[in-house]
Amino acid sequence: MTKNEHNVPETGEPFDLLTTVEYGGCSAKLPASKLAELLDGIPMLKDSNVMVDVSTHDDAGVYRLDDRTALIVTTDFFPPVCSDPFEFGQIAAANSLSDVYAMGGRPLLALNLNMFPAGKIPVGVLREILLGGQSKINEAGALTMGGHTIDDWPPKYGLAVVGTVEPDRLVTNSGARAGQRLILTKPLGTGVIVAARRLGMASGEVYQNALDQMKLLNRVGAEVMRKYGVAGATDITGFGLLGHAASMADASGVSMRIEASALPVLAGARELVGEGCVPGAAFRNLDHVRGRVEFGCDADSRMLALDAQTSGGLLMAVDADKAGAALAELRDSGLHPQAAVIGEVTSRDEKSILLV
Amino acid sequence: MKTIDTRGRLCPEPLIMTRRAIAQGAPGDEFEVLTDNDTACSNLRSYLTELGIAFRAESRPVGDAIRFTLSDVPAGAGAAAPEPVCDVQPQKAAGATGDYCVVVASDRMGRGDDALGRILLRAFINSLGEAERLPGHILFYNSGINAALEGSDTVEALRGLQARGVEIMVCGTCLDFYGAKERLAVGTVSNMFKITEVVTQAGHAVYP
Repeated sequence: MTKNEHNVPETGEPFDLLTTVEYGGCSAKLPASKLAELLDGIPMLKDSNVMVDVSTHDDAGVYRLDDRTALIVTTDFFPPVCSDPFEFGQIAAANSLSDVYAMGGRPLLALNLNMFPAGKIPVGVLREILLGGQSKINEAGALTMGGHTIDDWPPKYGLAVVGTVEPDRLVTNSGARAGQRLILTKPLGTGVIVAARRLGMASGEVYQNALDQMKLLNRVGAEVMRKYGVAGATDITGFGLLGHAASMADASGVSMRIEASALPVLAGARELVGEGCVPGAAFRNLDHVRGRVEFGCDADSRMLALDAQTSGGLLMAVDADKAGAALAELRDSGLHPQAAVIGEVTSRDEKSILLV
Repeated sequence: MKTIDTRGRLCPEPLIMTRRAIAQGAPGDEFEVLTDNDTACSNLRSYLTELGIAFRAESRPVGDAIRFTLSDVPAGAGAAAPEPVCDVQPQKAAGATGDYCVVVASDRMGRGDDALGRILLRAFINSLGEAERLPGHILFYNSGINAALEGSDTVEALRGLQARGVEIMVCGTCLDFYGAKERLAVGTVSNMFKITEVVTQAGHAVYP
């Protein structure tokens, strides 16, 4: 039992959501290899209007309505990654909305998915979660159409989101081309810092900065992709930078050379990794990409590149002559001061990723 | 040989303890790392390999700890890491324990007020170590498993008993039922077959 499972705590006292979970966020995902095994052979109808389905490991499914509009559909939910219910709602919603942005789209409609133990946690906590989520849905300009709530422990929250995109501006895992530069919009290390926080190793300042990054919508990143004609991108979540980058490289038929020294990292995360604070998800991700990545850097950088991210940034492949302007625009927004060019797309090599 | 005892610690704590101890050691120091859970074992193996530290992993004769022996620390990234063996083989410590078992079937001791019952059970477990003859096994099932979960104030005492050779067995079905497997802080996950075997073969069983 976790601390709070059997008692509804006194109302009035702030409820610490982290007491309900041993691990949270995207690190609660099933390992990618297990998922692939599970999905294998499940019969699904085909339709020529389906532009992106489950087969390419993309961030969302895409269906062409007509020549001008395609629908992007996606869902994501997870257990608490932080103590404060409002902030958890913000992070979970930003993470769900991110899949639409990663496809180059704009969120249109949202449904709330709530798994909440009403008998064990004051119901006001759910309201706070929903308020936090709604603040991000509003910021994204999407409309909440309803939702579904069931009793479950530990609590989980997320959204199902419908977005739209012009079919010819769709951004997918398979759109990267050799010669392009790779831009990462948010710093790495959310998994490390959440784990460190639970062990009392991360200061309030370091932790809050990580939470702020997780709450940040990938909207500006999506706008930059539209402006600079980006066709290949993904958002970085549970499989870590290397897991998602390898999927993108494989889907695009290219390889990627990533510079460890160029990786943006959350304040405090590198020091924590240096102290051995590496969550187990990093090792699951290592197993997932082993054989597809050639490692040529120090172990701590490797661990950061494997760290499972919650509501991570966009990894986008931008034409070399536009990368400077795209990066400047991200940084000038004031929201992505750590956005960086982290490497380049190369022609297909034996390995998907070279991390040097 | 410096010992880093991470038994009862969940990831990433064993990695942190190991990394810190290595950082504080002098070149050429030898270390042994003890762990008692499968996830930590697997992560330690991956982590040491990533750090380029050569090690040997084996099961340890007392309790269910796995011992990693580290050499050439800190080694260069190219140091060879022999294929580790990571199997957990619980072995009985000879002579240290009695022929009886303790069965903890509830998180309360006796009938009556629930809060009192919890206090009594805690006191019982915490004073078991003072017994003249230790039990061979302590079995936990149904709500009794709470005593072996992270955050319970009986975990420390149970770890102490385990270190002295008492086998702590926790019902796996119950852990699954309560969704508590990830929070097991001490003991090994067991099944009804083993629990039945222990109870029927014990000289006597104590139900607190």
